[in-house]
Amino acid sequence: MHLNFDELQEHVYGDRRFDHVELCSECRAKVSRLERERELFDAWGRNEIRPARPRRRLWYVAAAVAAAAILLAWPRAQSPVVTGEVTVRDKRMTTSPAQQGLVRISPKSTVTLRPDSEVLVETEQRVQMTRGRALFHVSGPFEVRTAAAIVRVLGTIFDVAVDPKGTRVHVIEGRVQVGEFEIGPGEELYVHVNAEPPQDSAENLYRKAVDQKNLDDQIRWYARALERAQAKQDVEYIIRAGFQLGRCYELKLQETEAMNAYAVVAAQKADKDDLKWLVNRADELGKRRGVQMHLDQFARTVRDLRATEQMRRVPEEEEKTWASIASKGPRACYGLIQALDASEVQVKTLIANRLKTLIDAPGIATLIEKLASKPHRDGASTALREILLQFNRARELDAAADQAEWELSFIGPGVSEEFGEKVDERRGDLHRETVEALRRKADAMRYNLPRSLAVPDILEALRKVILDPTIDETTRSEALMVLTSLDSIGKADVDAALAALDDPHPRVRQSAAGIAWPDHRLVAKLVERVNDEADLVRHQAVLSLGRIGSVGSIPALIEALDDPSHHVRKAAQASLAKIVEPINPADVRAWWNETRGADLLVTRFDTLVRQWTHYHPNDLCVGFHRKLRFARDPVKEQERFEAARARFESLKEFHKREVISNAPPDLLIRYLSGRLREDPYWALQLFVAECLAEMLADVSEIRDMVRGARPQTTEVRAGCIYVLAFRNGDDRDVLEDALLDGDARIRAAACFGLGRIGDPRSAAQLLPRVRVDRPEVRTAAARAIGQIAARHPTLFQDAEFVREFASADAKEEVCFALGEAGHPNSISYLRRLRVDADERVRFAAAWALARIGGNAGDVLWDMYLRAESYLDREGAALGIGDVKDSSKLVPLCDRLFREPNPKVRAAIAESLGKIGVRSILVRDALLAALDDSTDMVRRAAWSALNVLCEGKLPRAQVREFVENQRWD
Amino acid sequence: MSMSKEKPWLGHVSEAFSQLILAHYAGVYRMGLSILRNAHDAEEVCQEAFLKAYEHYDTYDASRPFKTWVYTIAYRLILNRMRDKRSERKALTETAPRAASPIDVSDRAELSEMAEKLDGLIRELPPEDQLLLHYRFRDDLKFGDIAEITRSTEAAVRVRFFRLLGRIRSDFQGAG
Repeated sequence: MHLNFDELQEHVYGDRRFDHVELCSECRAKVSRLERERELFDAWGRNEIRPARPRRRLWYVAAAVAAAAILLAWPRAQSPVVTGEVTVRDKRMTTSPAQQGLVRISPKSTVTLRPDSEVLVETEQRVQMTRGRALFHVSGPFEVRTAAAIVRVLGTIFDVAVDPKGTRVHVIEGRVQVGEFEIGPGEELYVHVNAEPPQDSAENLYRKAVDQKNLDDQIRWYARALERAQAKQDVEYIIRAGFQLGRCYELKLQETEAMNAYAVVAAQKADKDDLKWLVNRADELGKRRGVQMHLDQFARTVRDLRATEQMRRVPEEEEKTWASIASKGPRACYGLIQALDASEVQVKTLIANRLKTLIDAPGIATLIEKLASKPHRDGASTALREILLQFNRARELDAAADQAEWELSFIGPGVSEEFGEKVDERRGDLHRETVEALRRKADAMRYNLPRSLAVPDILEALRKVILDPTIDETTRSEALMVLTSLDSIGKADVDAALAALDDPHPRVRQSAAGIAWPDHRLVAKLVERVNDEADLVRHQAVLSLGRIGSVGSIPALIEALDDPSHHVRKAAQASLAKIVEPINPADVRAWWNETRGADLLVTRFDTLVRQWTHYHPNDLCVGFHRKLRFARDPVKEQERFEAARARFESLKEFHKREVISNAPPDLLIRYLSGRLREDPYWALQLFVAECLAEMLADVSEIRDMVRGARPQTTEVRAGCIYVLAFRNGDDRDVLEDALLDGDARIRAAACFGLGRIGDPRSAAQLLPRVRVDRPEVRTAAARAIGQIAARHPTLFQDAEFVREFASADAKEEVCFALGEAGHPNSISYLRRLRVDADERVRFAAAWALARIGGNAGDVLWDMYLRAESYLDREGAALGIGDVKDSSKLVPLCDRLFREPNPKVRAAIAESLGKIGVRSILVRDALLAALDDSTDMVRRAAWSALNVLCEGKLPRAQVREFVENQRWD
Repeated sequence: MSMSKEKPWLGHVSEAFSQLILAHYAGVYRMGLSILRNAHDAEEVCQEAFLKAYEHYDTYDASRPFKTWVYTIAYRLILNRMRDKRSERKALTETAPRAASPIDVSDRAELSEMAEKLDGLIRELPPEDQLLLHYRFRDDLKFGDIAEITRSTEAAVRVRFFRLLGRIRSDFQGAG
């Protein structure tokens, strides 16, 4: 029969032969040609494989020859491996040229002997190699001795090849020491037989030292180089290494060591002048640093100039001096810090000014150390104050840049729509420019300082100094002045300041009075100090009270208007003007007697609240989380948000104390209804209510007002509900009654109150309000249930209960509340919302799941396996991506193929991208999913690969791009 | 065999695994050497392949031959390694006409000489193709096994193999 050429090829070359078929003569001829051709290919296959070209190094040739020898020893037709029949005689292992062998030396160490090799096992941790080549896998201390070298290891994989001329060591894993050299993975070393024990030359050690990045490492290597040079009598390198070593020690401010190093150099130098210089240098070091020399020189020059009346040249000289100091790099700051001790006051200020451009973070640490431990600290504190002021200025710029960037993140097509803003692109460009300019300016201002300075450490050191009575008053007042330059200080710092305000030394009290931090204890103490015996303290206290702006300090300031000291009177006037700004300072007494400042208090809080837009932290959250979706760096945003919230809370607390200690309650009740219609978030009313809740012991009148016993406006009644809400939960029944009020505003307020009280029994009453009511009441009720659920997570285990939340707003509110609470019980509910129709709800649920984290991955995976409907599986799969549980990678990859529903497969692909582990497993799974039968899955896999590769891959060539990348 | 995730010192390897290594070391070594043409690189590939095999032994499906599994690992490693060196290598002309007539091997005396020439041609091929020939003529692997190693299908391997033969023929005859 006749076969075509392809079939004939298959017959000769393929796995299928057509032996049973009788071929025609033409075919037989073709087959015989093909078979001859096949012989050619077989001959090619039998040929030994030759390395491409010999490498430069000799051992490579040897290795190649050895490899060829191995191959020749393996006949092609049979199994090519000669298994390890190692001859063992007197612990001597030998392989013939056709053998390889695996030898176990100890339970943890094996040697793979290559052909024609010999190893003598001396102990479990020491072998001797006489010839050939072996691969060692050892653990624990181990030694291989050859004629040329001793190889010491701790635990590693390495290869040793011995030839008559020497020994080559190649490390695969771990580190190995050969003589004096240490080699790591991928490195190798050849040691000749008759070479001296391998020792690095002084020159090499010196070179290595120069390359070190770290001062300590440099010192170590220079010391080794010096030692080696001394051993070899290498004069050139004794001098070079010794000199460098001395310089390094100088930078480390270790004068004795530096002097020793210079002495070694001096002993070698024959030249008289050099010798003199070295001795002088060493002598100088004993007293001061190089920077000090510059400063002294500067002082001398200025003196000379003054004598010759050439004062105009002083600035020029000054610049020259600073330039030569600054040229020493950031390290020069250590010299300057040291110089702070000995210099005169003017020079100290100069140094402090210069330090702020030179100092880096370790420098600050040194300064703090100095402040806390050595005498003459005043210089250090001056410098620290200058530096911190500078740093604060940079931080203000940073904050401005952050703010601008934050605003910038809302300029874009999708975002502006979401917030109903009209944005033009030009505004975006302007913003971008501003951000960049601000960042540049801030960075320039910081010089060498890092963006985040460890302020707590600085404060700790300062407190120690302030509270230590054995330290002289100058130093303590200096430390207090450093404290004044910080814009945020903690409770402990306030305590220190309070103690300092009672100090017997007027100078300390004066400095302490300079701290203007909004804290009611501090205000009370400063008010006391307004009657201090020392003018300066009174003056400073009055100024600080003005800066703080507490209403409680007004009477004291009014009193200070009659102070005997002219300065204090003037300061009191200025401070009062600052505090009571809209009121004419001349009428201030009359105004105070009439109102006791209540309107001032409330207005001031009004401004604070307006700045923040939202009063309640949860309001803040919802607004924030909606925006977070568009933030460029969500983690940073979250941090910023937490910090802002903490600051807001502390300021609110201050204002609350102010109001409680100053305002009369009846006035506040009146305020519950004042100007409130302008305030969309009722923030002011809530604030007043919160204050009242704390002030009033008897709230029966308030309760009556809520019940509507007396005719009242809606605002006042709502305010009264808030008052009850901020108290303990005794008034739950009153609020629950208010839920059925005819006025929607009252119902919403009652919802808020019940949410705040957070009793799970109210949930049943709140639920009907979620279902049917005016929109604002429904939102408020949902939020209240969310708040209750956050405290009582079991509430959401009842599926019937949660199905009630029909509106997207309600679901979103509940998600945020649950996320904040972070309880795993809410996962099942959130999982279902993960596939909600509304995008905002999906986002909120994702956020909440990510926030819960922890073992949420396991819970979700369990739910996935048990879920009956595909929607539940989809939600669970998406949830695993949200909580970024990388332990679920393997089962997810598996499910990507086995899952019957395409929507769920797409969800799994998306989750794999979200988890973000770049493993080959994930890559292969996603690449395979690119061939899925459903486009939705293909698209999801593609976008997941995009996420993992951090780029936009062209869809057509995604395979190539992905495979060319490195995966773990 | 202990499946600890510690560093896989081969010292801890059970006898069974060392037997596996000894049985397949040479095959993997030759595979590496045939492409990388450098004993040192080939050895490194071997070691890396067996270390990987040991590390991921838990993912090995025991119903399949160990040989193809470890070959699969080695195949990836070799190709990865070659990818770094690829710039040195000429790509085979895609437009080379496919010769249908076999290479004329009438004189057996010239066989070794022709084999040399063939070796020269094969060296110019992309590493994947070289490996394919290697598997077929040196390791005598079936197309099914090759497909498993290269993560492809048997039909695709077969088509690639015959297309490759055609190219070699035309190159061989073109080179005189």
